[in-house]
Amino acid sequence: MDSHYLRRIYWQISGVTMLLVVIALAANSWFAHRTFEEELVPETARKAATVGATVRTLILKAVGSGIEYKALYGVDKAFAEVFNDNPEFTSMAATDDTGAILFQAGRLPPGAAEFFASAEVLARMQQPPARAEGQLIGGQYMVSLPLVKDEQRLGVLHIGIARTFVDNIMLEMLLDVLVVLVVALFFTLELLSFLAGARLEAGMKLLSDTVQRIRAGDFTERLSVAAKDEIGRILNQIDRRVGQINASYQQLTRDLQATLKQANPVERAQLQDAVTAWEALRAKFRFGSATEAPPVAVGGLNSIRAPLFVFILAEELTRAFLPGYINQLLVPIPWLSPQIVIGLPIVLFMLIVALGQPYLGSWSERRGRRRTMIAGATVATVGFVATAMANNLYDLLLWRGLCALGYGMVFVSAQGYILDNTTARDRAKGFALFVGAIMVATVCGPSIGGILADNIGYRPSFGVAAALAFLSILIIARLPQDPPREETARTGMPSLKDFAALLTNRRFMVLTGLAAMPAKVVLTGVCFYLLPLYIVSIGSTQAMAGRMLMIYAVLMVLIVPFAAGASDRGSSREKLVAAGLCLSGVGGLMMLTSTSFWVVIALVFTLGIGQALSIASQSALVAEHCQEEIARFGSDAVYGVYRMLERLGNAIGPLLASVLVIYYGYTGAFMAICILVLSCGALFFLLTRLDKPGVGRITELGA
Amino acid sequence: MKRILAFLLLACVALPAAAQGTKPYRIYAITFRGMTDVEKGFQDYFAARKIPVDITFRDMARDATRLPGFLEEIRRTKPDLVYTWGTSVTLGVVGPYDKVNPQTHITDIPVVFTLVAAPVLAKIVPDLKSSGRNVTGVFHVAPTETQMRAMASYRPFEKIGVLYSPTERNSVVTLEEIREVGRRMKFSVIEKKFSLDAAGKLTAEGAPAMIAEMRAQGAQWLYLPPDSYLGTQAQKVVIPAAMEQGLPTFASTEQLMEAGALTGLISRYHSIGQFTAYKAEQILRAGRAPAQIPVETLTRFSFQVQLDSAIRLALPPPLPMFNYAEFVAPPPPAN
Repeated sequence: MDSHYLRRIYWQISGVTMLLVVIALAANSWFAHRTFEEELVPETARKAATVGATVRTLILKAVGSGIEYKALYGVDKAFAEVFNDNPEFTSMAATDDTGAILFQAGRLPPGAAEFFASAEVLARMQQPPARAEGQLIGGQYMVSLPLVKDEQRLGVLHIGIARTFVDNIMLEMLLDVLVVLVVALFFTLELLSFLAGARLEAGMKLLSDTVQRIRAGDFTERLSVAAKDEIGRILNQIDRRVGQINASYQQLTRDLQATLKQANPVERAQLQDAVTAWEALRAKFRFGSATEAPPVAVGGLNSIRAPLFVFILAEELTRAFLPGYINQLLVPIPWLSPQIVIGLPIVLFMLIVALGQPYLGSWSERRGRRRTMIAGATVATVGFVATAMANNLYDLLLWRGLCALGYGMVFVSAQGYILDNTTARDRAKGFALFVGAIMVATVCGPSIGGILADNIGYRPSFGVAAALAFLSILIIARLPQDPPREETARTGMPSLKDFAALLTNRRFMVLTGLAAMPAKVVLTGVCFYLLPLYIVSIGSTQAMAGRMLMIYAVLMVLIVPFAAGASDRGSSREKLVAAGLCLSGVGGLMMLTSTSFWVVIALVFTLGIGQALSIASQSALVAEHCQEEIARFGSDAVYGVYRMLERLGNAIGPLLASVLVIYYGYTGAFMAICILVLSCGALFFLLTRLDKPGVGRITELGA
Repeated sequence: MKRILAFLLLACVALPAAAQGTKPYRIYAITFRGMTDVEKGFQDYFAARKIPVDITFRDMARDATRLPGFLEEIRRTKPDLVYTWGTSVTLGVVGPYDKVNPQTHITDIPVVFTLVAAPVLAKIVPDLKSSGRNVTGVFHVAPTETQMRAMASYRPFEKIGVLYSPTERNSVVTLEEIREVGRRMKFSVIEKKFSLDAAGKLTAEGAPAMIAEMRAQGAQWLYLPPDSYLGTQAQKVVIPAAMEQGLPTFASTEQLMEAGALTGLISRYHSIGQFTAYKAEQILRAGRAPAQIPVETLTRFSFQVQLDSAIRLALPPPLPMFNYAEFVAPPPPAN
């Protein structure tokens, strides 16, 4: 019963559950889509009929006031006003009682004239206006209304709606359904992982460790920490057996010692074989009580995932509607343009998280990961509640600052928790879990947040975020107690000297300046700033921009675990990082060929794949490349400076992008940033090739 | 809550009583050509607000020689407020702001003018914000550019004709404004002046010929400026001549509209009268100095169309206009 077998079972169960969820969702989506389709055309036709009725009323009013129908003036103007208010209408025409077109506007479909003059259409003048129905003529749904004034048949009014308009709505709906499907899928996975995965995996690990230990001949008794489940019962039984074996061994030892004590020299010589056998037994197996503490990873690495996910989800929820909310609370600041003011709370957030990293890093190392996370989640909860009740931009800045502080505390402690519970071998995988939780939250958060804000408003949505942050406190409280700190570990803030030393340290800066920071610049600069603005500028919607970001997030979630696995299995992390950076950069160069919508999608794809390849390996490389620095400054200090610089990249991204847009336009800004990342990737590859820091050589270099 | 209710009740009972108890405000009103809807609106406002007023109406009947008698009466009776109708009456009572003569002009009694087309151009006030003296009032003409755009929304044009009195400073300045707007909106102006007879008085003689000439020169509209003499000749001479030429007319005042113009962007006289009464109330009841009350006009104008003329000219209003234009009946035949 090895852990691989159990893992397979877990994944099979998850797989079946997921499959059921997908089938249910897909069926639901399909039926919803069909209902939409059946309803949409008549609904649009009804609207056309309603709008058409106002034009008809106007025509009849004019005719009623003594103006001859055929002599009407400015009918095209009236049509134009209708087009202004209803961009979905493609054409409008009014015919006389023989079907000849008198007035028209827009683009009439081919075959319209024949349709207008057909007996079937002209017959409508004989009946009172019936239920509006669209008739498909040459790619347009034509809605026809009779113009009859006091029994006098004037003609027919026609409104055409392009079929592509209806198709576009269908596509938009389909995409929305897809978005909901993806979000539901990720939620299910996350829920499964929380409900079964973490506990099952932890239990399995404990069981497997125990069996391994006994197989290696270690029969020492340990404090049982097994849970009260099936695995716990097995473990208890094993513990009982181990206790019995220990008791037998002790009995044997006592018997042997007693016999030896009473024996005379001759008997002792005879007993020599038994003593040898006993010593062999003692050499081969270990008995007695364990001196080491019970394993920390009771909940396993996985148990950090749920609280982290819920907490990050709270923040991600606000992504979609925070700018709108800020806009609502906007206080004009005379020397700043509103666009920059809208960005202020976001920049403040990024800066606090960036600059707080090193402080919070060493703080959480001293205070304990779990305690810091609880404190951080509490601060953020207060921040969200206050944000929901903010009066204006100024106090909003303060509350967002609180949220940023809490975010920084939870983020850093979770990172530290993973660092504490992994070794160099599985560190990349640990960070992949960390990044995975964040990415799933980024998949689900903004889209759900947008829906929430649309339906219940900004302030209640922040209330939901606060509730999520509060929920995360409850889950964090379930984490195992912080282990006592080992005194050997280097704690404390990096001094300014250490900071300077790290900043001038080539190994550290090659990794940070050429890989981590450019990756963040391209993320925030392209994904969070350029992409949404550009998408809207080429005539698409905000929703489409949101979907693009979701594609990016989905790619990250799908690829990061594989990239991390490859990295842990010994693929060169340097190569992965360099390849990822270069791939991120190539996307922007595609803008040279065309500026169409599809190039943007391709850009998002290459960017997502590139970032996914490099992101897990980057963090792991810090531990690998900078062992010497970690020994000197402490791991949290090194990671703190690393994260701070990386997060400064977050703040630089939108700033750089906005300046580039001013000078080179959107396409130029895309390309400039991507070329920057591409060259950083190439340079990173060259420099890490030059002085490839094998673990052995670090000691050489350090000596 | 109870106290508020009690207060409200008390206010309801006490206020009209108090109003009845006070002496009515005495207003001396001078009109230019008899009673109009402006005076009706003026009186209606006070009635609706239950403000007791005692208005003495005097009509100048277009005869400037009557004015000194009115001024003497004002000095003798010392009313609380003087109401003046139109540019001529107003200038006669208060004088141009840079040539005030305390011997003839009224300076010690607040004057509220109404129906002055262009009070700044007429030198009644130096600035609409404040007269700087014991005068305030209401003007009634929409901004020239707004009028030109309204005209273009009925039918676009490149050339318009304007007939005006060269002796009326008001009209001369309006013409300058039209030329200015024309440069911006890219249209040209054909200007014709009323002739003067041997006595140097304005005459409508030759006006129909001038209108025919405009038509021949390509005028697409005849614009009727807020010109006093034009106002007197519009219904009898000017508009019939334009109709004969198939030339649509655009009115700048309700008077011109009532004379039978095809269409116009105008202030309703009744509303102007109410607004004038509001200004008077500010002085009489709130005790504000006229110099502190800006000279204003209504913020909404009526777009009026005379459908009979439209049909006769075969120039129906654009279809969307049926949503917002006010359709008016043709005027009773001129006597």
